Amino acid sequence: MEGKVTYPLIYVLHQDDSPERDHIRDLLSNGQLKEADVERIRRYVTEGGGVLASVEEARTYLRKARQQLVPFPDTVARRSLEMLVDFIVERQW
Amino acid sequence: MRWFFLQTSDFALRTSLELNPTISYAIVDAVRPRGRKAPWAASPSGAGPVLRELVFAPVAEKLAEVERRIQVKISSRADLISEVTNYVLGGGGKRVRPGLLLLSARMCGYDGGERDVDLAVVAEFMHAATLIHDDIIDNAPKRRGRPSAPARWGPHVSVLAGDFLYSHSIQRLVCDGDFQVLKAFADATVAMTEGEILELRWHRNPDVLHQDYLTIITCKTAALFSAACRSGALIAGVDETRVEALTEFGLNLGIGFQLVDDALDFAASEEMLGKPVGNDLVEGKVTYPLIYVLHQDHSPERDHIRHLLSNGQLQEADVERIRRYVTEGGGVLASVEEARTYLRKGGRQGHLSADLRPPSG
Repeated sequence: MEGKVTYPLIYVLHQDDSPERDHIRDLLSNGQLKEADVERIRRYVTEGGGVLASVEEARTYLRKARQQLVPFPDTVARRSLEMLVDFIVERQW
Repeated sequence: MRWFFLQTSDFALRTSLELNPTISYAIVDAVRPRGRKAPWAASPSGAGPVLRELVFAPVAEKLAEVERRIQVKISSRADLISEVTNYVLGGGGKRVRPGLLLLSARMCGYDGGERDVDLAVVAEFMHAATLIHDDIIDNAPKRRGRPSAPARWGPHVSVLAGDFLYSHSIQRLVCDGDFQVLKAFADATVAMTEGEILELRWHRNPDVLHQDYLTIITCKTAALFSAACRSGALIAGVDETRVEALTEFGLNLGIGFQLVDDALDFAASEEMLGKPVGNDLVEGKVTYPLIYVLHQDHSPERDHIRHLLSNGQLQEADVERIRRYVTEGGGVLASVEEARTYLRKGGRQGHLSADLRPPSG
């Protein structure tokens, strides 16, 4: 995590009003994160829907990217670029 | 999760079964599940199998030439520099930026020689420079499973090796002689530096806003994606509308790429799904991944799974059990491999069958 505050966490911090949020904010601002803190933040983010929100956000941009290929002739190279767009979200394995 | 591949492979399986009833299941080579991102992040020969064989197939030869040139030691008066850069560039990597540049050029009809290869190498050099600098800033002990450059040579040598890669890239662009291309890459390097600084500024700050984050990833990641695509269009000499379209394409692709990357930092694979897990199973479809593992496996678990499948309604726990059985048994990767084999056949004449195009989302 390295202290980078990225979209999944930003999203949940923004959505949430629980006391846990304040605790997480404190953790972030105050010095070294212990392993247990990292796990707590990770869980906070996943349970708060931050991961899915991030993927949804990614999909918005990837849809735009796909749209930008439309003016190009339907060639194998264009299909490859379209595949690459789709691949971004599916690249888990 | 791998949804496109499950669908593709399912299609590929059905089709190949029609074409060839004695389909061989012995298709998995060295690729096994090794945890998240590993199979295509840690591939020593550049792009992971699916990227290399499937997505980058139309530019495979060019990409191989890029790879060859990347591995050649950059000559320098200071031996240590080429030692570091060679180490970093030889550590694998998906070669996404070179691939993007080559595909963009190809899509725009470029067939004028080797400028696409030259510039693809530059795109990877610049990317490698950012990786070295990132590892210094993050104090990262490892990169792609090996000691990072700063862990091996210390930050002083590493920062200079990164600088060298940047400036050497500019040298190559000057030799290429196209100011528009030079500007595209120069703009990207400026943006990447700005992105890195902005990221530092927001380090551990919970008040960072959505917009700040977007600016960071646009600068840090999307700018170079965009420059690669733009350059591909520029060297092909297409009109400005198309150059701009590809510039935007790269930008959006890069933002999407980084968003997913940041999501992966939090997520186990199950949490990534935009669609319900095991949907096929609930619908009673037995697709290739499951077929593969059932075929390979002779454990008692196999009999249990077969039993589950034949007996009516699957409970949620059953679906999860089958899902785990399939992933742990290598079924998903086998599917991808199978899709790859099939697509290679389809792509031999230089184009993939239109039927195999992934579903547009």
